[in-house]
Amino acid sequence: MEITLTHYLILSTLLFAIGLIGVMRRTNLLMLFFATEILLNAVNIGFAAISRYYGDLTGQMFAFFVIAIAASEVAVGLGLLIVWFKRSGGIDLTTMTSMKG
Amino acid sequence: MIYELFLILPMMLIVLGALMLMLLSHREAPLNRNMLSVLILALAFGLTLSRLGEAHSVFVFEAIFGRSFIVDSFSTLFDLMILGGAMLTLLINHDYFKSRHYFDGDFFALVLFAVFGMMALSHAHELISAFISLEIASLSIYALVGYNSDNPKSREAMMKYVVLGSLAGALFMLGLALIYGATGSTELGAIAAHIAAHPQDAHTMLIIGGFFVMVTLFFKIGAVPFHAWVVDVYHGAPLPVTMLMASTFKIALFAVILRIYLGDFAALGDFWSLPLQILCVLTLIGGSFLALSQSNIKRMLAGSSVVHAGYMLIALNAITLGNFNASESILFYLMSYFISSVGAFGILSFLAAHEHKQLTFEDFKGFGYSHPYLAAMMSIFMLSLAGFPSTIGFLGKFYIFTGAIEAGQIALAALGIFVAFVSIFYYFRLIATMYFYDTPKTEQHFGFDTTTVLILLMAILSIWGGIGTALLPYLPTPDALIELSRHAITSLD
Amino acid sequence: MELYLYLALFSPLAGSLIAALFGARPKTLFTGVVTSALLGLSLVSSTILLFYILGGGAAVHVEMMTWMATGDLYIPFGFLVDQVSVTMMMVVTVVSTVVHVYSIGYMDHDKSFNRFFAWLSAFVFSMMVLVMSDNFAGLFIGWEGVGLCSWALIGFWYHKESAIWAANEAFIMNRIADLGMLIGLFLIYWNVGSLQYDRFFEAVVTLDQSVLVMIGIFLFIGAMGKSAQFPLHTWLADAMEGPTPVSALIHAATMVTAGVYLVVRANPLYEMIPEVGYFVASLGAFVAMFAASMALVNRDMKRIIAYSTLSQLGYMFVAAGLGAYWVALFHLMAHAFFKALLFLGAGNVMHAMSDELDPFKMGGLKKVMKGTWIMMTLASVALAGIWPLAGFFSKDLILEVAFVEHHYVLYTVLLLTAMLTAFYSFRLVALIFHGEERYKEYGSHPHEAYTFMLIAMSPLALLAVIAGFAFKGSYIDMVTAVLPATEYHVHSPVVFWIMVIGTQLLVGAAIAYAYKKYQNAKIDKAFEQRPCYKVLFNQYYIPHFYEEYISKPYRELSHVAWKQLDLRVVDATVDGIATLFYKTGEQTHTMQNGNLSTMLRWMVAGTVLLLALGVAFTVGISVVAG
Repeated sequence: MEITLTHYLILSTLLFAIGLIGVMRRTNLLMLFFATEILLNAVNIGFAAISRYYGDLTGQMFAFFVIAIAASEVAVGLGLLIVWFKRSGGIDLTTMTSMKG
Repeated sequence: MIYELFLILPMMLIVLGALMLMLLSHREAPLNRNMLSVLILALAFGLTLSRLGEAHSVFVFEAIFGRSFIVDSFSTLFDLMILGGAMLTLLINHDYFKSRHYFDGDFFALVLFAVFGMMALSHAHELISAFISLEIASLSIYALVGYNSDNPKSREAMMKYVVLGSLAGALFMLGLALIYGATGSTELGAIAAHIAAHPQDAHTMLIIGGFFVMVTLFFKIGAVPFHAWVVDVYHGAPLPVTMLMASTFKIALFAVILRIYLGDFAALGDFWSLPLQILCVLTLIGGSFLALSQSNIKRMLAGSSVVHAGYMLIALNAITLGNFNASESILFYLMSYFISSVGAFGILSFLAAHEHKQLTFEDFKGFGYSHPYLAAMMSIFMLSLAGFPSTIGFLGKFYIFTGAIEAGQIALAALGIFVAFVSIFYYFRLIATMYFYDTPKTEQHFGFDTTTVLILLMAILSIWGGIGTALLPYLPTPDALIELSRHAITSLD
Repeated sequence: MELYLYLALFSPLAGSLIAALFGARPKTLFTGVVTSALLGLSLVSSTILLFYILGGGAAVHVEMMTWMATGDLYIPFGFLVDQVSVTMMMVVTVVSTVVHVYSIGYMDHDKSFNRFFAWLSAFVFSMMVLVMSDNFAGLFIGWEGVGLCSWALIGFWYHKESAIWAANEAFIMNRIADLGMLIGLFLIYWNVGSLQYDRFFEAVVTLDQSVLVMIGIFLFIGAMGKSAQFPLHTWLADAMEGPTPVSALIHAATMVTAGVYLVVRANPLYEMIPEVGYFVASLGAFVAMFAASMALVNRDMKRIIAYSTLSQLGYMFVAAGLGAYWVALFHLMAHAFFKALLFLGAGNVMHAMSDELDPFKMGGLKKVMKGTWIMMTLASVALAGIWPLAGFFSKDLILEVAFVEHHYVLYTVLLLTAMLTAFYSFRLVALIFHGEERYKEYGSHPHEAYTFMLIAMSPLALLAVIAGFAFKGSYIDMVTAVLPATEYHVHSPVVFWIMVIGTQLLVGAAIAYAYKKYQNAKIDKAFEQRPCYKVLFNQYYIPHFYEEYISKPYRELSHVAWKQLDLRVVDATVDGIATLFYKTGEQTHTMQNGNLSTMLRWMVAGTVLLLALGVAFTVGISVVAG
């Protein structure tokens, strides 16, 4: 069986769905960041596949941009996570409700 | 080449300034970093101002970047608004910066990076560059929100914003992938060409992709149901950052929204009108409820900023239905909202700097007697935000509602007017609190310094914008602003 | 000339703003000096404009800016100095400059000295706007402005209950009348499409007679309020609660004549509708007599002068109503001078007697207050209309107008009123300055006012004496350039001289009788029991009538409306809405529980739902279309 664009896109969609579910269900902050990484990488797969399909390299270039952005987001997020852990001793987001209403 | 360099010189100035501030951040130099960054912003502002009114449209360094960055009258006006907004925000918080120890060089460097991102956003003519600009601005703002890491609220706000923001970013990327898949390009011009070349019903993938892109942008402006972060983040962030997000960042976001809407998605209006109308209704009503139930002024203003985003969505909706004139009303509304909200936040910042209060409604009891001048100005801002006649806020709403009615959106305009009526409840609650309670006479902190002079300036502008046409014939009137916006919009065609 | 126009207009405003800056501070002499100096500047500018116009210069017309321009509504903010407005400007600036200087002395011991000058100058500015505007909108702004300042100045001593009451009464009465005026303005705008004087007067000939009558009546209702004509006259006497300089400036010389000015200004309109004009004249004659009769027995010095003002306003309306606009304006000017003088003199007396107002408690003051005595006597002579003082020329002219126009009833009424005027004026003079020194019983120690106050008054005294014979000729030449130049001459010289000498003799007799009767004032108890005295003393029971049949039922109605309607219906509804909002706000609170997971779910759910809706909608459309 030849692997076509459709297959890649289905994979990408599945991954995105997994990421979304992760984002909604997880209460551990670290896992949340994992989930968002999955989301972005799902998109990356899509970009690479479409790029290949069109025979146009820009799509793959976008994937690199996405990786860079994802990395910087995680850098900010993890930096904060460490501070959070130091101050509150946990990384569960249910503890994070001092502001509401 | 030199000309193109000159065109992007303001942006380069900002980046260089940010780098310089970073280098200076740990020096114990007796240096007013706030004023330094204001100076850099002012320089960029001046450079941009020299091009105002010029009709031009240039893709910068087309050979290298392709058509990803454009400099046109539209972006010039938005650059001015962003730079001016950031400048005023920094200046009006002058006292606040002095009263808190944690504002060092990095803080101002981050502000400048955020400003750079916002400017780039208004120049972006390609969706990937738009995303990168958006992320530059957002990442800086994430860091700014949590800047005071000693404050648990600040940390919590940042965490919420980062997580939600990365989800929104992922949605943007998903949308982008779909658009790329549908059209083979992410450049706005190419997408428009693609839309024009193909029949209406062949755009499903493009439409869905565009939808995700817009969701991200609506998330950033705080439209319901993507608003959950607004109140908490505005509350937790340091006041200057709240101001930057509420006004300046919103201006930049509308720059990209308008560019996308007017340029390309206009042809897809059929699909857009219903989700946008629902969004509009939800935002107006949901924001009102959010604002009504708050006991902290900062949170109330945050809630009401959602409502203000809703008003602008009404105009966006009118654009979708083909009334392109409504885009001017968005620009004017942005300016009017900026003036009144920066003034109101400025008073909060002044009080936080001098009296270290929590800034709840409770704290404002008898404010009218202890601080008569500030209370009077606060009342002006509240009136303007509520859209009371003879303030600039009224004019802003007036243009929006008439635009909606012209586009046949009478129900939305009626809802907008109703919501404006509801907003009287929470804005006047503050006025009532200030004046209807007696207070033991406390000492007044009112002298003329940077902060108070700027607050006063904002108050004067609020009134001038509302009745200026009548009083000062030789000064530019709000009509001039409208004219300016109209001129800027024409460069998009 | 434009420069002088702006100087004349805006220097009072500048003075007012300067004084207002120090409004809450204790007395600073310089506010009084600065405002007076700026008014002096305004006076000089007005004088320059006057000589320019007198020298045959064209009317100065400037359009300062566009005041309102929305759609078809275009109201430029323009000013016009022509023969009519320059007369008014002179009257306003002369009297107000004098009053300002005088007030420096009069308000000497008042702790709200600065506030007084801020309002007084603000009044002058509003008045200047009123008379200089080239359109009805500007006139209306000035009209409301003087109303506001008058309110603030009548209630200047706001710690006095009666002052507040009088201020509010004046304000409310004027509002009622202003509504009429506003309707008139709307009618003009509706029918002509412009509020510019020139546009309106051009269009007058083309308009329907009934429309003109309506406009004329409504404008005159406005004039009735400002000029305190029956039945809206009660506020003027009560307005005497304000400081005396205010009474002199606002309630004698300037603001109350605004109604006359309006009728004179709108002369092309009233030319077209003589029947309304006749009504105006009849009402004027009635008020002249009616007010004079109330002045006969009153025992309050300032109220007597106020009634006399009312009466003289009646004269002016007679002239204006009969089409003799320039005569009305001439009497307006002359009256402003001598009536302001009379009031300022009364102010001196009040000061001397520690704010005593009852002339029966004075007497013999001429020994201690020589200057005041001379000036008040001069003013009274002028008011009575004795040759050669100002009143003779202006008032006799009105009598002649009535005679020549064959309105003999009006003529008779006015002639009688002239006698009454002479009588009550000299009753007052006799009671205050002549006879026994009754004040000693009450332990007063009268003293003459500051010399500079007397000097400040002297220009008015001079004008009261010479305004008639010195100015009449050149005045007629000037003003008839824009107003209908009807000559009023009794054809037969015999009749003319009989009339003039007869009038003079009658007036002289009235003066003599007043002196004789009140030289040694005895309060005549028997006389006071007579019904006619009671009727007059109680102002024909009109205030009582208003109180009993208008104010009280209105209060009852308001009470009911408050209890039943406001509290139960309106407040309940508003409160209900507010509670509903707050309640719902608190209910929805729980959705905002601050949990990040919830927020994320909101976001995903919102995206999916919106997308689904959008897709369903588009598909729906294509199905329907397909």
